[in-house]
Amino acid sequence: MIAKSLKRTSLNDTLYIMPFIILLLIFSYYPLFGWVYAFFDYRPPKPLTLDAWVGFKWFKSMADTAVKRRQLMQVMANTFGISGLNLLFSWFPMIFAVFFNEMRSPRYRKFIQTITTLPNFVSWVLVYSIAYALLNSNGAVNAVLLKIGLIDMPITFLQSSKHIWLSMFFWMTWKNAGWSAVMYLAAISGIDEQMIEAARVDGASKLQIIMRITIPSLLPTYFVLVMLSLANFLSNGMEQFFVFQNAFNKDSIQVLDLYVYNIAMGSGGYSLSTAVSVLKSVVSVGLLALVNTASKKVRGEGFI
Amino acid sequence: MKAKRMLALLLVLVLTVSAMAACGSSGANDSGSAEASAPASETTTASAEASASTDAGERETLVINVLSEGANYQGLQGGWYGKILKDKFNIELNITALSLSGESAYQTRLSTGDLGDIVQLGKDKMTYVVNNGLVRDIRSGFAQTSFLKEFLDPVQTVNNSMFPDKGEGIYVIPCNMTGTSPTEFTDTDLLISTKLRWDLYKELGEPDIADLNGLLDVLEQMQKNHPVNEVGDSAYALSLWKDWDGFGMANVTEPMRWYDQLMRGSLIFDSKTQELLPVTEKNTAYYKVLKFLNDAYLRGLVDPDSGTQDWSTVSTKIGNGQVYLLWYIFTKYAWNTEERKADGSHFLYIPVQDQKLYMEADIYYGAESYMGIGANVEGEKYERIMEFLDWYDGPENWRYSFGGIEGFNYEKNADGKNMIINPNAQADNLAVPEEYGGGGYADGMNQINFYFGHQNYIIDPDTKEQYNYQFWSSVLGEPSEMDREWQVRFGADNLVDYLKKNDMLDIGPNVVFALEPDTNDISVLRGQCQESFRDYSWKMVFAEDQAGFDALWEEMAETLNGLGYEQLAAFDAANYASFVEATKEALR
Repeated sequence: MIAKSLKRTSLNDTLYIMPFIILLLIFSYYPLFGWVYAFFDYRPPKPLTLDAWVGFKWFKSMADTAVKRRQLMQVMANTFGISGLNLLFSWFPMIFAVFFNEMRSPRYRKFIQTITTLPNFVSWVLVYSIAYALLNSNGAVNAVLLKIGLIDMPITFLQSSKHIWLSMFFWMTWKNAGWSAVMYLAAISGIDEQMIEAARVDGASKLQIIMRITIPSLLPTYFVLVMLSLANFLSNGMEQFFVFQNAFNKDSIQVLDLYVYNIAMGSGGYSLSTAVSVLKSVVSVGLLALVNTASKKVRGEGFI
Repeated sequence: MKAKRMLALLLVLVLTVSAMAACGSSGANDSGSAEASAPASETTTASAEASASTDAGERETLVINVLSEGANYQGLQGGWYGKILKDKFNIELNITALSLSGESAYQTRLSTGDLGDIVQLGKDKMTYVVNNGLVRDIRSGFAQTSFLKEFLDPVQTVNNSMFPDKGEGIYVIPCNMTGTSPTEFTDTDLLISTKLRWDLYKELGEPDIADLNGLLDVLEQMQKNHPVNEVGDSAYALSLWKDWDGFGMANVTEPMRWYDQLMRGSLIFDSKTQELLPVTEKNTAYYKVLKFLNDAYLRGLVDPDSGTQDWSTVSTKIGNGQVYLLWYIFTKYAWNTEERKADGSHFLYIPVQDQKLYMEADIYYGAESYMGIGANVEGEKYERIMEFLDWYDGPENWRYSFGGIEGFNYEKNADGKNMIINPNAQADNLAVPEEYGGGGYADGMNQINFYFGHQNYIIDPDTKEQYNYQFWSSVLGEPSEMDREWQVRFGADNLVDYLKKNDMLDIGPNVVFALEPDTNDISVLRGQCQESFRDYSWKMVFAEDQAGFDALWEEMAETLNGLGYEQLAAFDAANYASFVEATKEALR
């Protein structure tokens, strides 16, 4: 009797999560089949069945000479550098949301929220057009600098690799900060008003309320988001770097995703680029495990 | 409640903003400033394919997808030329340009096995796609054409030599066939030379230029005297662009012909010694021209935007008078207008005396760029495309593509010769009258940028003159003051005459040869070497001093060798041996 009802319960439970499992299988596991391309000499338009099986050749060729190892290391350094910067300043949207929340005039609030969220909907291609219009040698920025006599030759902002990680980070922040703050604004509106009123009655200043109530209440959200971004540490997307890349900054801007794209689409090396992205997944899982262990040690609980 | 209101507000915001963003992106496509604008209207093809009615009535609209390595425009052919195609054949051309979309468009199409309806590619890519069955045999249709079949001899020779395993089929048609002879050179201008503004050159007292350093001295003076154009935009001696780059920077590989060398795959062909040299070798024209560009940069003569701009931007700058040195023949049309002929400010060839210019003989077998029809094109669509291509090679299209619209660009004079009206139509993008389709003239021009015949050779049966208006007797007219001055100064009729008199011209025979397509390893290797070589070249142009330049060169050589360039060079050396042999054979 008991065993039977248990069975039924677990069947019911399975049915509840079935849609999600199916979705997961379709969108997350089925694409893994594409990994087989890393083990063939695939060259379109010949189908896989006509291509030679080459085992780990492409994995080996990724790093079989000093130059290739150096390139790969540089790509990893860029990926870690840019992701690291993002991680380092991941508190920025939270602080922005906290201060934003203190603004009183509703009209002004709406205005600020609109202009900070807007860039999120602008595609990177357009962002680059804006950057080009502003920063080329005849662009607005150079024109102003030349007019007021700060420089006598136009600065080639886009052609330089100086501070490129920082400028990439700024473009990213300009585009994303307002949008990321939305999550924190939602969390702030969930904070119990009574707590804040009680603090006010007790004579807490605005800053004290922020420091003692708002931020501590936001921290759990913050940590979840940090964890999520850690899992994506190696994937900083390629669109931004793709549009900004040129011969001069490519060394410092080519992140892993862009590297994979450039190999596959630039030189038709599908197999090699698949091999690189397989490795990327493997390293990502490794990173996640590492963070999880660290979290267990520090907080006493992991997140998987 | 507050949260609810906030949510509603947010939703409205999201909707508005995404709507605005959508508008924004279409705007950017129009301006053509963004690189990665994908063709938007591929979906319409399916409906067109379904057209089967051959009734006497109106034929259904057929969208033809053109994949092109040569086009400088991407999207639907519009404007007055688009209207002609629409009215005549009810077809629309949807062009995907590799120079704008990058390699990715080609790679993606390759992996889907459908390249498009009309495919225009260079020799190596074309060989690969034909051998893999992505381009169809058009022998049957070709025989039935009325204009195209005049090229049967060169076309058949090219196909037999490129695809020895494919029998007598015709898969590709080369571009720019001259219909003359493969060993003679009969044109009066060169593809690659050194052209300077005649007015500015005269201003400096018409100095002799001994070598590239001398050229820089002259250019430096010009830029010093005229740091801005008429409207005050800064001008530079040189403005480079990045979208034509292949194995090496196009702004270096093309001017290599100044010193009798040219690129062959990943190697440099030295026409004097008939040898193939690796690009890592310092004693080549590549090094020399690259150093020339770097020297120009060190003297402040290179447009600082060079590394980020594309060809169309540079073309605009040339038209605005912001550039002082031209090396490529077609760049001159942006500036050399009729009015400026009277001003005496045309770009004319000024000899650099240590040069020996390389030029292929009349390209009887065409240039190494080919057009074919995608393997998936069948039935009525195939017939309609062949019909279009035949018309494309006929007098009507030649007149549209090179003369423009009769009544707007030219009219017949009393002798039955063409005479230009509105000579600035292209340079100033004049508005085309509504009856011809409206829009700007330059915007609406034929964007395919591929012709089976050569514009400087093919003769209009009506006027007995070339289609290219530059050759019309009404345009050539009496030599202008400027031309006479040039002839007196250099003691020759035209630049080819000058070069021949001074033994500065090397005519390489036009030969046909087969290329072995890249293996998978070589293809990846080529891609990686090409990217490194190109990127290092750009950095070297902008190196801050000689030491920096040398260090980058060393680093480049080391990187290429580390990637396995030797293997690639060996592959190409074997591959282009047939070209070297054919050249030697033709010269014998």
